[in-house]
Amino acid sequence: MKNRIACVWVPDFSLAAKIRLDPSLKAKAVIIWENQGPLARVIAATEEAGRSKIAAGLSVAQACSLVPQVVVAPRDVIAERSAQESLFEVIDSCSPIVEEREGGLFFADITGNKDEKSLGLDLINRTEKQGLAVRIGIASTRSAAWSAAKLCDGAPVIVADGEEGSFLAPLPISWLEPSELLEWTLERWGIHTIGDFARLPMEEVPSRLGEPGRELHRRARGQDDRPLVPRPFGVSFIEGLSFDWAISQLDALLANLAPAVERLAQRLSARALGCRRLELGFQLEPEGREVRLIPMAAPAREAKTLLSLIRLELETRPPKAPVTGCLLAADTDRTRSEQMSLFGSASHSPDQIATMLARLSALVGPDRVGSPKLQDGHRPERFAVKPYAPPPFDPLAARSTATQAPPRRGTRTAVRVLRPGVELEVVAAGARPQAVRSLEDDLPLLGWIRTASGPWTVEEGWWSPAPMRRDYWDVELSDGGVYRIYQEPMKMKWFIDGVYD
Amino acid sequence: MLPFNSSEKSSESFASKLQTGSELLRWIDEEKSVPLLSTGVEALDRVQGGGLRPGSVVELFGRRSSGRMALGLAAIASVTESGQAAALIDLGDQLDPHSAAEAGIDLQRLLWLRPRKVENALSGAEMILDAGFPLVVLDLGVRRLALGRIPAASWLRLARAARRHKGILLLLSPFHICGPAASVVELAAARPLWLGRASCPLLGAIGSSLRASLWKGQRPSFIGIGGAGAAEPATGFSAPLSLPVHDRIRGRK
Repeated sequence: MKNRIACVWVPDFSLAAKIRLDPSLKAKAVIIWENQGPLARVIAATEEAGRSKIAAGLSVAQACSLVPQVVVAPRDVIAERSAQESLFEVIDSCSPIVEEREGGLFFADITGNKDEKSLGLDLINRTEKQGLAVRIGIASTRSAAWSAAKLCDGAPVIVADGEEGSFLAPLPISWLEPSELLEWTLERWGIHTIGDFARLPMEEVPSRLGEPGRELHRRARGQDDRPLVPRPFGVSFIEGLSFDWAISQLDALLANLAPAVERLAQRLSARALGCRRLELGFQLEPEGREVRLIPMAAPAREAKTLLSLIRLELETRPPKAPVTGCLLAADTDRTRSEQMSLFGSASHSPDQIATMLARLSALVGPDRVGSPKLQDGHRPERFAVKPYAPPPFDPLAARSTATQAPPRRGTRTAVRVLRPGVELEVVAAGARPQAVRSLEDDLPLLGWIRTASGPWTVEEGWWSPAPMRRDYWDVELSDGGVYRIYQEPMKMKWFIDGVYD
Repeated sequence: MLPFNSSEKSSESFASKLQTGSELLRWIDEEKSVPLLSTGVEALDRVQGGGLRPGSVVELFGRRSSGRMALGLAAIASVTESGQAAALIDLGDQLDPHSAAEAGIDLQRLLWLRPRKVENALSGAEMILDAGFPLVVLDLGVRRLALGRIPAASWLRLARAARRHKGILLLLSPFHICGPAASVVELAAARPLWLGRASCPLLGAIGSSLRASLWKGQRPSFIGIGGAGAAEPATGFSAPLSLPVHDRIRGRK
């Protein structure tokens, strides 16, 4: 089966990327410029600006003199990158092999697709929802598809298999993207169209124009066997934008970020993916970059959740300098889904838990939220915390506390662990403590020891440079409390590390 | 003199807050029919009339070693055993995971929050109650804290959050702090029980007792409709409590 290739192209890509962020610019006279100082040149202009003879190549000053009220916007590389990613995402969902070129140009293998017109229209609709107007050309060769895309005006242009040569014939030779030297040579020979070039004898072209000429000649005749080179990595969920001026107010920064977050959330939803870690990159003024990583307890894709996490992060740690640009990149994962139950209490949605955990992390610190985890060892104060991820609620397996009381298991005394232990001043008779006084103000402790049980030796890490050895005592003080204290014989110090409660 | 429109609106909003007698009785029946959370500790369940009531704040206060932590862990164990999640807001960072596991808590279902400030602990409690957790235990620890700065309105706010989402806020405090927003249980001073010889005693158990103090000015409960008045203990229910000690250090059970 002959290969069929769809070319997806966004003309004036830098302008299209800017309009994607602010659709109101489409109706205005807008120019996009790049380079600095006297080299600043217009690279793209809207239709409105074009009516006043503003075109690519003019200087900014010339453009402003033609249309004084023209909107002058610098080229936004970050916005172009996010537009490129967004476009790739849509095309990647329609084809297993997608070759990416800069400037909003893609080639996708659509071999085997029976209804090419519907596919083309579907791509146009879906990319329009992403804020980009594309042109689609479909043919059996890359060159023909690319040329067809340039001729597209609303509906996709489809070149039937075998008709590439006749389709390309009337088109200018520059549409085959020859090198500058080749193009100049062909111009001097009086060859202006692809058809003229294709009519040249095939055996003569390599001797006069070399291998590049031979390759160009094959393409002019509709023979383009170059395979598509697929993009090596998968989809990157990136959104970003540059600001026209540096932003130092948090509310203004968040207001500008909100549309980018919404676009990111829409793209995640389209793929049924959630963001499990959000990377925020800020371009600072006058120079410098700052990167923040916001982990999520559970993959989330609601724009409101992501925005509230960004707000919490920035309120806790605001950027060090005014921000001139921002890039959002999402590490993705499948969202957790849980079967809701008709019986028992409703379990929490993963999104709800993720938002709650993120808010708690912002409140107390990410290392102070989680589930406790048992840890091997002998130190009584040892503990570990793991991310909170409860198993799903199973109402059939669980016992309902409303209808059946839990078995009376005989509740035991618990120990409150003091981390770190509080140093004590101890009066001892021999090795036996008789009275204690705390050396820390926020744990007042003073009294005679009524009963002391011990010592019980605990050792750990005898092989390490700092082994632990403690002699523990359970003591009842005259204040009525029952405590766990220990002595470090090597240092001759006493500590309290537990309160029985 | 009030404008004519605003007096209409104020009378409408006032009327919406009134209840008829039958509505009030129906509300009381609905409150009674809500299943109580049994903590697994007979003494605590008894003084609370069968268990902890969803949508309420319960304060357990007592001195050190009175058994607050053990009762808090028992309540959490009761919830996690039923397959639900519970939260512990550990202001002093004093939870011993091994004690928790021995109490029967499913650690995977326990959300452990370790704030450093009282304000963060209260905010965290409200967030977790709003998320719909059936039980939130707020432990104020044993260290000295600047608890006097907490406005009374904070506890009312937490009580509203608990009522709104039918959760239970169990407050473990060294002294009575909640005011009229909570149902209060006082734990008596500890009475340790030492076993063995006087020269080599072994801590066997810690005894205490619970006394429920229901303060006037609280919403009517199973006792009956109380009138407004000065906050004073209306009645008290006592129950003894004995908490044996599991000696992990010595490896004795």
